Amino acid sequence: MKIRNVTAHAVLAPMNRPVVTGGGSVEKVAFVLIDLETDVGVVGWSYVFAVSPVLAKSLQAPVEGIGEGLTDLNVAPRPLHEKM
Amino acid sequence: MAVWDACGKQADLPLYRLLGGESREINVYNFNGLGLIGPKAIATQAKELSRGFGAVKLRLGYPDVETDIQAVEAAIGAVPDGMPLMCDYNQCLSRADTKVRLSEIDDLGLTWIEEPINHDDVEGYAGLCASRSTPIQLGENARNPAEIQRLIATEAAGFLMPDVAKIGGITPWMNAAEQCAASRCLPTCSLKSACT
Repeated sequence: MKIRNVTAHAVLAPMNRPVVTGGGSVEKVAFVLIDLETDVGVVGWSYVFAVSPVLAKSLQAPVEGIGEGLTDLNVAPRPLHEKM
Repeated sequence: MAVWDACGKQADLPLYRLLGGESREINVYNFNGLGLIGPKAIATQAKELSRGFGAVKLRLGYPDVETDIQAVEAAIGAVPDGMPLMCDYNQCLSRADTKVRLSEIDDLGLTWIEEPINHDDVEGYAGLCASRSTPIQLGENARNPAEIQRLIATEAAGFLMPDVAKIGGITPWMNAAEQCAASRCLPTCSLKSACT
């Protein structure tokens, strides 16, 4: 199984129960959803937490850029982690 | 994480099986809600949020320590007898304020006090841990296993909660967990369930 393509989507999700913390109020959560497509049709899912919508959008390009560098490599977590 | 997920899907195994684990019951706390909403609202929410969970966590960092104490006592009074309670300051205190506040809440029976000062103030945390009985919870914002190792080596925390996304995925999370195991420092899990 080899990596074919990595896509990233910036997401802003409302919280059903906003949380007021000592560091500020959190009413919506920004994160990036990641799809890792493989040559056998399996798609791996992941996410990256982002503090704000601006940050989430700005993370799309680097995540997909890292993904481009992994194209055609084996889907093997530890060797890929060492490479990244 | 996406790579591990693809491996699990191809093997038709859940991640815990892929990593060599087994299905078992674990203690889970509810960290929804319970923000800085005042002691009265805390009591109402804590009662609701404790249903179906083994513990609840509330945020602290009100303008004064008296309200912090009232919020904790309101939660204790609202959850079932003996249910563990944790608190999280979300890094909002100064070092000086923390020394005063933590000495005031140290005997309330909290399971842990989470991130009272900046998460990367390792020396500050080591000093806090040396001077109180309630364990400090730290590590959610660690960016790699080496940062977890530093918290262990400096005795900066009683509990460590590496976050699987923030630390860089399943592989570095497992490496951090091994370090916790080697030093007999209990890792707790930080999972994000933003929309619940």
